Amino acid sequence: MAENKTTITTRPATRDELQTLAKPNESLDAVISRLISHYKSTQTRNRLAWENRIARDRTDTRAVAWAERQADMLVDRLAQRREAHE
Amino acid sequence: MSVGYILDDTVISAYAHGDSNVSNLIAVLDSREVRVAVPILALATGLVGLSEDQRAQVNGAIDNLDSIQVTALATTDDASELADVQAAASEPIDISAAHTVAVALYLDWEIITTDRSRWADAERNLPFRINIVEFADD
Repeated sequence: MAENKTTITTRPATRDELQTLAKPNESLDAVISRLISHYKSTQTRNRLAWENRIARDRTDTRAVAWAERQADMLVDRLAQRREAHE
Repeated sequence: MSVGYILDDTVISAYAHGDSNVSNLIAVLDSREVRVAVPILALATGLVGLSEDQRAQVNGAIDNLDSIQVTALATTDDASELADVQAAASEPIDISAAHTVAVALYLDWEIITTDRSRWADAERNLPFRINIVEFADD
Protein backbone atom coordinates (compact mmCIF):
# COMPACT_ATOMS: atom_id res chain seq x y z
CA MET A 1 0.00 0.00 0.00
CA ALA A 2 1.35 3.43 -0.92
CA GLU A 3 2.44 5.53 2.05
CA ASN A 4 0.41 8.66 2.62
CA LYS A 5 2.38 11.84 2.16
CA THR A 6 1.60 15.51 2.32
CA THR A 7 3.31 18.80 1.58
CA ILE A 8 4.50 21.44 4.00
CA THR A 9 5.70 24.85 2.90
CA THR A 10 8.89 26.34 4.28
CA ARG A 11 11.17 29.18 3.42
CA PRO A 12 14.08 27.99 1.28
CA ALA A 13 16.46 28.89 4.12
CA THR A 14 14.55 26.62 6.50
CA ARG A 15 14.65 23.76 4.00
CA ASP A 16 18.38 24.28 3.55
CA GLU A 17 18.93 24.29 7.32
CA LEU A 18 17.03 21.05 7.62
CA GLN A 19 19.16 19.58 4.85
CA THR A 20 22.35 20.44 6.75
CA LEU A 21 21.05 18.39 9.69
CA ALA A 22 20.45 15.30 7.54
CA LYS A 23 22.72 12.32 7.86
CA PRO A 24 23.86 10.64 4.63
CA ASN A 25 20.82 9.26 2.79
CA GLU A 26 18.46 10.55 5.47
CA SER A 27 15.21 12.04 4.18
CA LEU A 28 13.93 15.40 5.35
CA ASP A 29 10.94 13.58 6.80
CA ALA A 30 13.32 11.56 8.96
CA VAL A 31 15.20 14.70 9.99
CA ILE A 32 11.98 16.39 11.06
CA SER A 33 10.92 13.30 13.00
CA ARG A 34 14.30 13.20 14.71
CA LEU A 35 14.07 16.88 15.67
CA ILE A 36 10.55 16.41 17.05
CA SER A 37 11.70 13.44 19.07
CA HIS A 38 14.68 15.37 20.43
CA TYR A 39 12.48 18.35 21.32
CA LYS A 40 9.93 16.18 23.10
CA SER A 41 12.65 14.36 24.98
CA THR A 42 14.17 17.61 26.19
CA GLN A 43 10.77 18.99 27.18
CA THR A 44 9.98 15.84 29.11
CA ARG A 45 13.34 15.85 30.89
CA ASN A 46 12.93 19.50 31.89
CA ARG A 47 9.34 19.03 33.03
CA LEU A 48 10.26 16.05 35.17
CA ALA A 49 13.22 17.96 36.62
CA TRP A 50 10.89 20.78 37.71
CA GLU A 51 8.16 18.44 39.00
CA ASN A 52 10.60 16.34 41.00
CA ARG A 53 12.29 19.43 42.40
CA ILE A 54 9.13 21.14 43.56
CA ALA A 55 7.66 17.89 44.92
CA ARG A 56 10.75 17.50 47.08
CA ASP A 57 10.89 21.16 48.13
CA ARG A 58 7.20 21.24 49.07
CA THR A 59 8.03 18.87 51.90
CA ASP A 60 10.07 21.69 53.46
CA THR A 61 7.27 23.26 55.49
CA ARG A 62 9.39 26.19 56.65
CA ALA A 63 10.24 27.05 53.06
CA VAL A 64 6.60 26.80 52.03
CA ALA A 65 5.55 29.11 54.86
CA TRP A 66 8.33 31.56 53.93
CA ALA A 67 7.23 31.53 50.31
CA GLU A 68 3.61 32.19 51.25
CA ARG A 69 4.67 35.18 53.38
CA GLN A 70 6.86 36.58 50.60
CA ALA A 71 4.08 36.08 48.06
CA ASP A 72 1.65 37.91 50.35
CA MET A 73 4.08 40.83 50.49
CA LEU A 74 4.68 40.83 46.74
CA VAL A 75 0.97 40.69 45.91
CA ASP A 76 0.33 43.58 48.32
CA ARG A 77 3.07 45.61 46.62
CA LEU A 78 1.48 44.98 43.25
CA ALA A 79 -1.88 46.18 44.53
CA GLN A 80 -0.26 49.32 45.97
CA ARG A 81 1.52 50.05 42.69
CA ARG A 82 -1.71 49.58 40.74
CA GLU A 83 -3.52 51.96 43.07
CA ALA A 84 -0.74 54.51 42.71
CA HIS A 85 -1.08 54.39 38.92
CA GLU A 86 -4.87 54.85 38.97
CA MET B 1 -0.12 48.87 35.02
CA SER B 2 2.16 46.80 37.21
CA VAL B 3 1.11 43.17 37.22
CA GLY B 4 4.29 41.24 37.76
CA TYR B 5 7.90 41.01 38.78
CA ILE B 6 11.23 40.45 37.12
CA LEU B 7 13.63 37.81 38.39
CA ASP B 8 17.30 38.76 38.43
CA ASP B 9 20.22 36.39 38.00
CA THR B 10 20.64 35.94 41.77
CA VAL B 11 17.16 34.41 41.98
CA ILE B 12 17.86 32.08 39.05
CA SER B 13 21.16 31.05 40.61
CA ALA B 14 19.66 30.52 44.08
CA TYR B 15 16.91 28.32 42.65
CA ALA B 16 19.38 26.36 40.55
CA HIS B 17 21.60 25.74 43.57
CA GLY B 18 18.79 24.16 45.54
CA ASP B 19 17.24 27.02 47.53
CA SER B 20 13.85 25.60 48.54
CA ASN B 21 12.60 29.03 49.62
CA VAL B 22 12.99 30.29 46.08
CA SER B 23 11.52 27.21 44.40
CA ASN B 24 8.46 27.40 46.64
CA LEU B 25 8.10 31.13 46.03
CA ILE B 26 8.19 30.59 42.27
CA ALA B 27 5.49 27.94 42.63
CA VAL B 28 3.34 30.09 44.94
CA LEU B 29 3.57 33.12 42.65
CA ASP B 30 2.50 30.91 39.76
CA SER B 31 -0.44 29.55 41.75
CA ARG B 32 -1.53 33.14 42.46
CA GLU B 33 -1.18 34.05 38.78
CA VAL B 34 1.45 36.70 39.44
CA ARG B 35 3.31 37.20 36.18
CA VAL B 36 7.06 36.78 36.24
CA ALA B 37 9.53 37.89 33.59
CA VAL B 38 12.98 36.38 33.20
CA PRO B 39 15.30 38.53 31.10
CA ILE B 40 17.21 36.27 28.74
CA LEU B 41 20.62 37.63 29.81
CA ALA B 42 19.77 37.13 33.50
CA LEU B 43 18.82 33.57 32.62
CA ALA B 44 22.06 33.03 30.72
CA THR B 45 24.08 34.46 33.62
CA GLY B 46 22.20 32.27 36.08
CA LEU B 47 22.88 29.17 34.01
CA VAL B 48 26.64 29.63 33.99
CA GLY B 49 28.46 26.83 35.77
CA LEU B 50 25.38 24.68 36.31
CA SER B 51 25.18 20.96 35.73
CA GLU B 52 22.83 19.55 33.11
CA ASP B 53 20.43 18.51 35.87
CA GLN B 54 20.45 22.00 37.39
CA ARG B 55 19.86 23.52 33.98
CA ALA B 56 16.97 21.12 33.39
CA GLN B 57 15.41 22.26 36.69
CA VAL B 58 15.69 25.91 35.67
CA ASN B 59 14.42 25.35 32.14
CA GLY B 60 11.71 23.03 33.41
CA ALA B 61 10.30 25.69 35.72
CA ILE B 62 10.35 28.30 32.98
CA ASP B 63 8.86 26.00 30.35
CA ASN B 64 6.10 24.59 32.55
CA LEU B 65 4.81 27.50 34.61
CA ASP B 66 2.28 29.61 32.76
CA SER B 67 3.14 32.73 34.77
CA ILE B 68 6.79 32.81 33.70
CA GLN B 69 7.89 34.33 30.45
CA VAL B 70 11.39 34.81 29.11
CA THR B 71 11.97 38.30 27.76
CA ALA B 72 14.20 37.94 24.75
CA LEU B 73 16.54 40.23 22.91
CA ALA B 74 15.10 39.78 19.47
CA THR B 75 14.42 43.09 17.79
CA THR B 76 16.23 46.30 17.01
CA ASP B 77 13.98 48.01 19.56
CA ASP B 78 15.13 45.54 22.22
CA ALA B 79 18.76 46.30 21.34
CA SER B 80 18.10 50.04 21.44
CA GLU B 81 16.46 49.84 24.87
CA LEU B 82 19.45 47.89 26.20
CA ALA B 83 21.84 50.39 24.61
CA ASP B 84 19.91 53.28 26.16
CA VAL B 85 20.46 51.82 29.64
CA GLN B 86 24.15 51.28 29.02
CA ALA B 87 24.50 54.78 27.59
CA ALA B 88 22.82 56.30 30.65
CA ALA B 89 25.33 54.72 33.02
CA SER B 90 28.17 56.90 34.26
CA GLU B 91 30.38 53.79 34.43
CA PRO B 92 29.75 50.56 32.48
CA ILE B 93 27.43 48.11 34.21
CA ASP B 94 27.31 44.41 33.46
CA ILE B 95 25.18 43.45 30.50
CA SER B 96 22.87 41.16 32.50
CA ALA B 97 22.02 43.97 34.91
CA ALA B 98 21.54 46.40 32.03
CA HIS B 99 19.12 44.06 30.28
CA THR B 100 17.20 43.43 33.49
CA VAL B 101 16.88 47.19 34.02
CA ALA B 102 15.78 47.67 30.39
CA VAL B 103 13.04 45.07 30.88
CA ALA B 104 12.02 46.68 34.17
CA LEU B 105 11.71 50.09 32.52
CA TYR B 106 9.74 48.68 29.60
CA LEU B 107 7.29 46.70 31.73
CA ASP B 108 7.29 49.10 34.70
CA TRP B 109 7.72 46.10 36.98
CA GLU B 110 9.95 45.76 40.03
CA ILE B 111 13.02 43.51 40.08
CA ILE B 112 13.21 40.87 42.76
CA THR B 113 16.59 39.74 44.00
CA THR B 114 18.08 37.56 46.71
CA ASP B 115 21.00 39.97 47.12
CA ARG B 116 20.58 43.72 47.05
CA SER B 117 24.34 44.23 46.89
CA ARG B 118 24.27 42.68 43.41
CA TRP B 119 22.62 45.93 42.31
CA ALA B 120 25.06 48.31 43.98
CA ASP B 121 27.00 49.14 40.80
CA ALA B 122 23.87 49.66 38.72
CA GLU B 123 22.24 51.82 41.38
CA ARG B 124 25.41 53.89 41.76
CA ASN B 125 25.98 54.40 38.05
CA LEU B 126 22.48 54.88 36.65
CA PRO B 127 20.89 58.32 36.93
CA PHE B 128 17.42 56.98 37.67
CA ARG B 129 15.91 54.86 40.41
CA ILE B 130 15.80 51.09 39.98
CA ASN B 131 12.85 49.49 41.73
CA ILE B 132 14.19 46.45 43.54
CA VAL B 133 12.65 44.12 46.09
CA GLU B 134 15.00 41.98 48.14
CA PHE B 135 13.73 38.78 49.73
CA ALA B 136 13.66 38.92 53.50
CA ASP B 137 15.19 36.01 55.40
CA ASP B 138 12.61 36.06 58.18
